[in-house]
Amino acid sequence: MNDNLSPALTRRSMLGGTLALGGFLLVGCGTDNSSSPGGGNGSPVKTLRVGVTGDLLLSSIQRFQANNQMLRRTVYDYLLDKSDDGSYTPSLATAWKWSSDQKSLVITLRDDVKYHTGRAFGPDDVIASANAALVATSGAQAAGLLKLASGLKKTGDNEVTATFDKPFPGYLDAFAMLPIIDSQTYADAPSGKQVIGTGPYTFGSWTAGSKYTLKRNPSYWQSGKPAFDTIEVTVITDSQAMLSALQSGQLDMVDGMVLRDAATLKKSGKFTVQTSATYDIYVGVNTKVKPLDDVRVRQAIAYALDRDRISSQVYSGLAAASCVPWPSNAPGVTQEQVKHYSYDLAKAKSLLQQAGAVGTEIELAPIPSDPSVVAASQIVQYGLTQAGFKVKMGTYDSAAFATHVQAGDFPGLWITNVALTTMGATTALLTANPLTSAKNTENFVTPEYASLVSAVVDATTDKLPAATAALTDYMLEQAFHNTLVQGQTPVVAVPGLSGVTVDRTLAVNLTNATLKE
Amino acid sequence: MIRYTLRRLTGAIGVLLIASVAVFALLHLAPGDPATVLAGPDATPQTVAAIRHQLGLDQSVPHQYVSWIGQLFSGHLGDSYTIHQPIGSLIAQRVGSTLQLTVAATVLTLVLGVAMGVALATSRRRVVTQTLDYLATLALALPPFVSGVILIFLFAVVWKVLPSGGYVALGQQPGEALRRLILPSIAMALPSAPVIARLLAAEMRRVAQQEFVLTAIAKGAGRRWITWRHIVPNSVGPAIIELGIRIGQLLGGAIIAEAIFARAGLGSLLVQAVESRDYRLAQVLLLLAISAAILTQLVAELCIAAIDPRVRVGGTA
Repeated sequence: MNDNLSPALTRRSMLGGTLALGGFLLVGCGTDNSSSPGGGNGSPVKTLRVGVTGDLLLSSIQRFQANNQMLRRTVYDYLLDKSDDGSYTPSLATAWKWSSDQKSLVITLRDDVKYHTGRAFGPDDVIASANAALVATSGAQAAGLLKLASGLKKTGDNEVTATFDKPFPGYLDAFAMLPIIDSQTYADAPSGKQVIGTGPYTFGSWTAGSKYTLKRNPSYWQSGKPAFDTIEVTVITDSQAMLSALQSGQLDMVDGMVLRDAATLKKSGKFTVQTSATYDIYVGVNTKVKPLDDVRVRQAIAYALDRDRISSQVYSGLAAASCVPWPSNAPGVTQEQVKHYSYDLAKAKSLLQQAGAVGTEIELAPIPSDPSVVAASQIVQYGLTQAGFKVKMGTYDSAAFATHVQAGDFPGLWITNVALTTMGATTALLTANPLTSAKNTENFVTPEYASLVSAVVDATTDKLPAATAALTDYMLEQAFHNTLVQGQTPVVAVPGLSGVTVDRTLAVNLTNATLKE
Repeated sequence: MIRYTLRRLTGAIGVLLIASVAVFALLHLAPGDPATVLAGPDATPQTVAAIRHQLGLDQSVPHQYVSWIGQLFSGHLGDSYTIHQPIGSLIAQRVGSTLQLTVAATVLTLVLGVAMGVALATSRRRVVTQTLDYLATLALALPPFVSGVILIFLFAVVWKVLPSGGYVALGQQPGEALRRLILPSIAMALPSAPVIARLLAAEMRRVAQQEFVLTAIAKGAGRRWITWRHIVPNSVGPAIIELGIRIGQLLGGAIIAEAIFARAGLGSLLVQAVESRDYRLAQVLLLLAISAAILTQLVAELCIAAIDPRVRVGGTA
């Protein structure tokens, strides 16, 4: 009888073999850095590896939405760009001119631009792009501005003219946030079959939910650009996995990293952190629900928000405490308005007592997809509890949360953001659900608000600061939309990466980006 | 055996049909729908209604169920609402990653479980059994989302010897594919292996007292021969059943492992589908997961029935 099942394979040899195999796998293979062939000698890298937090939503490429921010300025171009000071710079449009009565706008287009299919870009494409945004199912926010034009027509080989029944200077914002699509292939875009634009990169392959690649457009109208042959974009939804991928050298750049992680990496000094224009992160109040219909209760909430603590502890300085929804340097916004509500529990308690609402139970629901907001909600909960509210935390998944934002039927308070405020008050007031005057998420609809919003929307450039200031004062007094901080979208990158910019639509522009090892 | 197989198969199909109703109803009962997600946060009610109509979501729920199940029976899985690609091809893109991970985790569970189980049952040194027992408890207490983060931190961030995640097809770069499998499969196998080990050890201790084992000892058979030829084969029954259940759990656990290790598999696709309320995609993926669990359970039961005639005659193991 054989006492040994496999005499040739002793325990000792098996252990040795296992260790050898393990050693080979662990050390022998090394880390895969094949996609970054720079070699560490300062030579330019031809492949950029980017991490993003969400997959593409190609059926809504014209929408201002986080999913498509890596595509909106790489595969596509806009007619023009909006600068931080509110002025516009040319892109596919070379010039634009308002009529003296501001009821007509003539836009002149470049004549040397071609789509990735080789077809020449022209005025019909601008009209087709606007019409695509105006389709009932598009959901593109630019439609809120585009529909205010009474007409948009081709008036020359390289010219389109928009006409208006009444002056609307804010119209140009629409073309500073609208990717110009190719009408001939647009039907194939949602599935990724043909994603065609005029941008510096062409759309390569797409494995839904996993990764996509962009290839250099050799015929790009800005000669000599872009620098990378390939951009490999990996979708990593878990924030910890994203952090690990960047720290372990698997990525060169991350767009939309959780702000607290970005702050940690910035402190480490091993990565660069670039931030975008600031956008509004706020506590919304459903004014239809009692006792939140009482302005004193809403003001008590505003005083119970410890904005400075949220800014320093949650965002580590990458978001600034503020009480107004617009960037602090927006025309008409004053520092008094930015700091209007200090953290004052005594005032909050007093207002709550006056309203007879001490001990009222209210629900507080943070947007689930943003860990920073979830962390901020704990500080908000603490402040509200100290002020005399009984706070119940509401939990929703992303789709349910979006449904409530759209319907305006949160049972109490919620915390989320309005990214559209980066474009300025006019555009945000016409397109962002929490701020529109006819219907909004807070259900705050008053003649005064409608009138003040109209004043901002209709204001000419010289009258905009005063109109914005008046509206902001009213919003602060009514406290239905309580801004916590002005947040930023961070782009975290390895030190050798330069030339990356984030525009006011929070889209990443890699046209001038280069990476050196 | 044929009658037993048919009986089990009929039961499995019945469970699958009931599951299809439950899956469909649960997803449709959840707040929000694909139109909400596709319309975006700033959409007007008119936009949401137009998208809902375009997708056929304004029809009654029973009508939608009948339409969907009819489509499935005719062999069409349909297109994803949000990705706009055929669901079949989306699954085909992802199934390799999940299968790789599940197979690797199962093999590792089996190897670790059997090795620990045999060592626990046969070792005469108290220090060995106690150490193994502590290790088993520790592994059992470490869910993949904890062990995964620890493994990534050590092997990918600190020592930089293994990638922190990602998926490479085995057919394209076998070496790289295996390297990317190591950490997630360890994380997934760690809590499962001790269960197999303890079940096997307990059963081996029971079998070791059986007369045929004592007879073999009396006849002078070697210890190793008795263990591997007589005790282990007669002790693996409960472990096989448990492994069948564990494979289903490992498939479920792939959702977490794929998120932590950024692997594009069916688990992460399911999470994406549920979060975006992509009913069609989520329904098919959930039914697929249920089918896999039923199938593995069925195979385990048939294996036991094949080994033990008492089971197929009508009793239980």
